[in-house]
Amino acid sequence: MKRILLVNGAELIAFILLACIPLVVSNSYALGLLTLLAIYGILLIGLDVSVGYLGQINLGHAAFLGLGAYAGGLCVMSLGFTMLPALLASLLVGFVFGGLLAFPALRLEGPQFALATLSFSALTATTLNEMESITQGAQGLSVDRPLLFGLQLGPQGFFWLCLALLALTWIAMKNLLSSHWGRAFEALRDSPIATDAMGVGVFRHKVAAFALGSGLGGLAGGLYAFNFQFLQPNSFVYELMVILLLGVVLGGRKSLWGAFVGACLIVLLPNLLSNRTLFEMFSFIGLALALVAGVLSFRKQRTISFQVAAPIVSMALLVAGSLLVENTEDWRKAIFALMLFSVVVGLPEGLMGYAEKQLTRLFKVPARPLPAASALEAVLPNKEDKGLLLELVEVKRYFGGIKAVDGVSMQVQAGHVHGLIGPNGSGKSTLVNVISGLYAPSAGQLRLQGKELPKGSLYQVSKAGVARTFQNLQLFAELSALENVMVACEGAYKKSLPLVLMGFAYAEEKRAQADSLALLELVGLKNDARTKAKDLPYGAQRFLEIARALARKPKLLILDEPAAGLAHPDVQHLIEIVRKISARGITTILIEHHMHVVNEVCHFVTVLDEGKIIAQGQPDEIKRNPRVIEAYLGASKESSYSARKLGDTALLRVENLHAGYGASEVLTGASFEVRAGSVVALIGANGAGKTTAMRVLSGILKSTKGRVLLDGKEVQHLPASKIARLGLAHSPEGRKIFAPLSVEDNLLLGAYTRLPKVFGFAAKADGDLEKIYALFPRLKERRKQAAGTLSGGEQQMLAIGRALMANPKIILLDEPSMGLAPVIVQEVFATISKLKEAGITMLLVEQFAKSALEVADYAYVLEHGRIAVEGTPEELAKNERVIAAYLG
Amino acid sequence: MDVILQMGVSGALMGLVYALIAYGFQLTFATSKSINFGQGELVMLSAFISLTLTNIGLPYWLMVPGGLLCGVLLGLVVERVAVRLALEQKSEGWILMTIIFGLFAFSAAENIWGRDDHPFPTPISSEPMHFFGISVTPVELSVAIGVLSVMGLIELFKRKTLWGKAFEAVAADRDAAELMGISAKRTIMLSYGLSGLVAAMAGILVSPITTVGPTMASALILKAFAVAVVAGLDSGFGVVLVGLFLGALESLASYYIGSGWREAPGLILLILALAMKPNGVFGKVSIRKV
Repeated sequence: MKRILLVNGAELIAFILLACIPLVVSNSYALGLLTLLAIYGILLIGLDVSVGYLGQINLGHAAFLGLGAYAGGLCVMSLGFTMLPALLASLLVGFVFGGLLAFPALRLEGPQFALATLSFSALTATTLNEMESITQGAQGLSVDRPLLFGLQLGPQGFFWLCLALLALTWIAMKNLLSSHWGRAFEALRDSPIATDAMGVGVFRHKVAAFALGSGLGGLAGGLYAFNFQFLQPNSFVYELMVILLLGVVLGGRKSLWGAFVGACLIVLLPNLLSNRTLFEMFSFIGLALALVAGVLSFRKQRTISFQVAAPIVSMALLVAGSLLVENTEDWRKAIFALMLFSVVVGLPEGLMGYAEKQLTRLFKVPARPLPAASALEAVLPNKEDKGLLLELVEVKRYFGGIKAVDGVSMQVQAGHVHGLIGPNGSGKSTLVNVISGLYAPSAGQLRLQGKELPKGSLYQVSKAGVARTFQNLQLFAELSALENVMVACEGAYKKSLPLVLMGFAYAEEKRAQADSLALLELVGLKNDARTKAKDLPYGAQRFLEIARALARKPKLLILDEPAAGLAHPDVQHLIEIVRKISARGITTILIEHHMHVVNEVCHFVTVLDEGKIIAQGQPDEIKRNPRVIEAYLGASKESSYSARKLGDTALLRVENLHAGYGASEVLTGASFEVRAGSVVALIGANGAGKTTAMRVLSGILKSTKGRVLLDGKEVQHLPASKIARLGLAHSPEGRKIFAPLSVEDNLLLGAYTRLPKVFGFAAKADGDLEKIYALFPRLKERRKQAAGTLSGGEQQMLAIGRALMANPKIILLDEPSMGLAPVIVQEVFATISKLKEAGITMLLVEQFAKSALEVADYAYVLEHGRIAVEGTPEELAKNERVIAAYLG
Repeated sequence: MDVILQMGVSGALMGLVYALIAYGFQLTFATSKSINFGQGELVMLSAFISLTLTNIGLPYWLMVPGGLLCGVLLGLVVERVAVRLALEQKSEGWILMTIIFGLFAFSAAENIWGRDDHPFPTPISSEPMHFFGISVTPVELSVAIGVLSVMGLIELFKRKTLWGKAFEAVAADRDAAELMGISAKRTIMLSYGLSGLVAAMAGILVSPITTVGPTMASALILKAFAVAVVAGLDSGFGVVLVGLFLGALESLASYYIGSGWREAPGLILLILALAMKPNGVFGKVSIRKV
């Protein structure tokens, strides 16, 4: 109740006040400003749809204003329309052209979208200018204000008309944006892929949103025409567009009040500039605010960041300008620019975005109450399907020459939890990406309940009854947990768009909330329903994705590594969730690296390696299958160890290292060391944190806690390029060679830090190059070839060679065998042995534990982000815990 | 027929200027996936600065390096003020920020040098010469030579020096380049500096033909965008071909349809290209990843 009073009350009072002003003030200039305010209000609300909700820089809105203005004006002058039909025509012209532009612009993001809309607006200006027979061209078009129901409106009447339309727009947008449409707009801004995968068509929502915003632009244009009664094409060009953007951004994106405040600013700014004292005052206030913010932030953080310094400088420029410049109106654009710059940098959410937050806190506006959760039985009815659900026949997916999935045939039985496992790079993720429609298969058939699955369309596959989660989370970050689930609610939204605009979708909205709450309850997130997805802890984000996928009421649920990066208690929670889902009869495909999860929940397991199935069966059988063990641990020939005695000096020391990605902590206090001249292996299951550790050591990823000492010097705070210069070379996971550059250039860049940069570097590097070529003769044959055309094994050689070129104190080798054929893997390890004999210090991360132990002098086993066991290779090879770490 | 050829050739020569500016977009896009929406204002500012250098008595051949140096500095300013923060935040805020920068630069130029167009003196003759019935002025030829030599020199730098190779390395894989000890931050600064240099060169080359004024680059830049997008932001020399084509096309369009429609072919081409080949005619196709 308090909420309704405060929020709706503020809106009501604002509109009543505005409506009453003409009764008190009879100044025609002031009335003109107010009319303009209402028109710009509509215009900016329209622009906010694309800039705020779709999150795209739209440079075409001025064109829609122009198109609407000319459409309205011509309808009146040539066709004799009255007010309302003419305004409707303006609105429709904006809507239709917006829709037409949205079709080509649809596939575009970021700069391309901005460019497309910019071109459109330039094209519109040209057309309006050149089609003189219709528009009178540059001479301008005079427009009479048409009759409204037979009445000739005076300035007051016209103002009330504009204000009424603003109020209507306001209400309609409020209804729309709080419906599933508004959520869909935001969802496709945050993750288009997940939007498609949740059965919400990116296509139609993007077109609809853009057309709608443009329609409002057109409507504003009609009003603009009847307000000024004279139109010229050059009023609707780039400059106006920038000013409109200024309005939306200054006022605050994604906010009706923001658009309104923005409109006020645009309307009042010219007057502000013409009044010298007023302008000086405003610029001083601006500077004072920026300074206060600066001092506050300095007291907190002890440094001055760009975000703080830039507004101060630009406001100081404004103050200096206001004192020095003779005619401030001439500098109008520069003043806009400075103000906009300060706000974009210092207050990214805009004036109203900031104010709304503060006011909500100040008045303790309560959030809207939530309904009681629905019964789970009603949301996810028990499925009693039996028999074959999903069938894959010879499915293949190639990327260029890489056969990521190479002929997989498998069957998933209804009601099963079907595990899909395999070492890194074995093709599991590609396979589920093919099933879920992200990729079209290169060949093969996929059938769900005997029916062919659509190929290569996330949206259509989702509509066919397949829902999925993502290995790299694809949540709608800015939406609350509840809204994330509500976006995906299958079959919940039936009301047509006009009814939604009029606010008749309230009942189905409540229903969707109740259903979504039931799903949040299932995954244990009911109490976080209002928390923004991006503010949830990492584990909760994973569970939220599961709840969201369940809202699709899927026949088949695909969980892509749901336990990746989870802490131990969360893994237990995940197991419970999967069991609950399974108990409701929902068929699940589970990709997972944590073998004990697979063992506990899966009815059946398929093992992939190099894009092919190498084993299928019950989890227990799989664990003992020698081919599976080999795929995970490396070839099982007779082992021979070559450990040497370790030296005394620790070249690399890692102490209590913590690091992760966003909310997910992958390293949880790892400590280990590498003595000079030794080879140390870091082994552990996938997801244990091996690669993360390597990335932290080389500085690509910043640690959150702990120390890294290279040769006694702390380096954890240095950027990667500095650490490289201190003598640490990193041959990264996935090799990461510079594909378009030649083999020789790749090697030269390896020695970047110690070669002259312009002339003579080739001569100086000659000796080193020869050494590398002696080690890898095949690289010499291919020295002029683009590195991207090398085979996987050759690329690995190149990556190692590139690291050696730096003459480093230590080399980090991350998964050198990943994705390589067994023969090549042997070759790689032979090379590593040679380097070991040459006395090069190495830290080796390897999936194939056996191979790694054979070359190492010492080894550490990483589990859940910290060292679980350490010892000589021989000790570790006998240690059961090592095999357990891999196979559960 | 002769008319068509004549219009085509002089249009194509202008098209090289679009190609040069588009090349500037490619440089920054390669290292940072960002472009400067205020690039037109850089062209214009550099032209004004060069004009001022000439007016204080600097000979042409000293003015050129001076103007180019200012271009480099302006490019670096854009990177620091409008781009770096957005890149650090991994947002697309640089679009808006570079637009704001352009607005500021435009206003500053308008107030410092006035709104009028000024002739730009050049020692190169504008007496037409005749080849096979087509007349070309040395000024137009100087544009072609200037454009191709600047692009050639930068390509040479990228391929033949270790700095240049580092530039390519950052473009290919930023993280891996960091691992080699190459600072991605500095490389991005370098790319903005080079992009500023290219803009200044475009300003100096085109000014004798278009005259210098605050709005001199507004039409130019739209067409440079069109060339960059139609060719693809990672298309290398594709911009030259598209630039020549677009220049000829618009020159013919303005002859046959009317000079007011000059801009239309480029804009339509841009929207069509975005609709059908979002990565450009010569661009590379990217694979969706999750």
